[in-house]
Amino acid sequence: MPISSRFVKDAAKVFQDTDLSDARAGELALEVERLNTAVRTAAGALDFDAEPSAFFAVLAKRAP
Amino acid sequence: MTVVAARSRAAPADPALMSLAQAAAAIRARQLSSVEATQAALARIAHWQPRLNCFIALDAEGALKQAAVLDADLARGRIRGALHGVPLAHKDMFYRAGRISTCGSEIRRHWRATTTATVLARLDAAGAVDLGALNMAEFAAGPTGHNEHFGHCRNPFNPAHLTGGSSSGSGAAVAARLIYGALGSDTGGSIRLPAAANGVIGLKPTYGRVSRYGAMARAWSLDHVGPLTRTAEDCALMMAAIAGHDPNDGAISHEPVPDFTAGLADGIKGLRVGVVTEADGASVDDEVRGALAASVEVLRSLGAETVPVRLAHLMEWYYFADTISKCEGATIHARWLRERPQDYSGHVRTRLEAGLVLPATRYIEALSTRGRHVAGFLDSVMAGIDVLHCPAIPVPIPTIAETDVEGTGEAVLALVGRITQYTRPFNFLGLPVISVPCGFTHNGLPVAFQVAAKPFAEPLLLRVAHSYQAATDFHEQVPEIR
Repeated sequence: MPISSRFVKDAAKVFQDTDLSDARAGELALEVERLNTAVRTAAGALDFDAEPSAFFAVLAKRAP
Repeated sequence: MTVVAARSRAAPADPALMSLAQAAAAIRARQLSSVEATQAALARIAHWQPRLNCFIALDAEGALKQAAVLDADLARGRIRGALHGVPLAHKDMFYRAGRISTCGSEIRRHWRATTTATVLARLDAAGAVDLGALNMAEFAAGPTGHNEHFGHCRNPFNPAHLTGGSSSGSGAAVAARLIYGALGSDTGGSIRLPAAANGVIGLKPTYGRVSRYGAMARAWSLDHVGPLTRTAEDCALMMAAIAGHDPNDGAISHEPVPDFTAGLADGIKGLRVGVVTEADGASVDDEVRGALAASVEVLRSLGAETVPVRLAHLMEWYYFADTISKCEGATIHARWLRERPQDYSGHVRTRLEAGLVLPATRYIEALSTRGRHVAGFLDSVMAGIDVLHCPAIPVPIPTIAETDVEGTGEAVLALVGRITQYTRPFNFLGLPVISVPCGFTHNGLPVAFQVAAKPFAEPLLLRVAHSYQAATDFHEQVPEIR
């Protein structure tokens, strides 16, 4: 189900107390849809134990 | 393309045209005083500032006073460090206690910092002179160099063209020989883009190599601080001054700091260079592609072995970085977006707003997938190679008008989007990347390539860049005052 401009406008108001015009909410809906889909799809491959700090461990372990 | 035989380069007579390393050596040898070097910089600034708008705040009096103190120190035999007496200036987002730090914004136009950035304190300790605060994109949010509040910064090779951003003043001022080096910050390419657009070196170090304490946050997880300089040797000198652990930065690494200058002249014979020939979702303009191919030939002529590489996940990393950047940026700016939306430029507000409504789970997923992707990149793309060569800005540098970020045209948005295609993914990966000038397009604007390496391998990147610069003279092309 695509993210609607109505949802974006309501979410911005309810969660952030921020007003968006209908036109801007429409643009944002497309942008949020694109990012949400890209990350959600990739997250399907995440291990149950994955966590953000793994990034720092990889950098430290792979240092020359 | 101009390829020159490796040679030793004599220091120019005009101090402003010296490299940072040459100026530092001349000051140390007392062939040039810090006051003379600062006066030479100020004379060029007086000519160029009206055309380029590199500085937001110039502190000529303070800089000359500081230079005089450093000259007096030297006369007494006291050398503070490797940058003793060298005039620098930095993006206006590195805080100095008591000084206004606008962050390129209306909201902070009169805001005075109460603390000093670790990197500024370290440059002070190394003996550098601080000439003032450089122009930048509003809140470091923009890859072009447009600024609605302080005026656009302009490219010294042609002021109608953009400087790249967000460290716009840093790139333009170093290229125009107004200063010997500058600090920038890089969240999606903001050091490497202005370096590429202005024909100078720009190094985004490994995440955690350089302290972010006292630097305005754009997006904590992606922010990197690093130098823009004319040469790789200059960059190594600045890195030596600023790198290393800082208890004030909770994300800093404990990795030992190497000698960044030690292996510069060792050459790249036998080095295995992966060359990006294809990247899913991204493309390169033909003219830029020609300059990149020529740069690969130079690396080969220096003894490097090259292998073609395809980047299959470039746009995936781009989207992860974009998600993190928008969510963290929206968090940082949430209160002002509510209370002072009119004080933001339209394009800055729109860059942040998606983060207000993206789910927290998406943000944390993007962060959680980062370790797996870095490990995967190192085990696949970087397997069997030492460094990776790829485009910096994949199109000829456009004009300021062509990239009017306050406009809403699809063509403008698409062009601006292409500018960061090859830089933003490396902020997600956190790996060190250097931008190196490698020619000019038909419009007379610079072209550059990037070289990426494994974590904390900045000395190797500097060695590659130094070897390339020893064989070419693109970095020696001085823009002319017209």
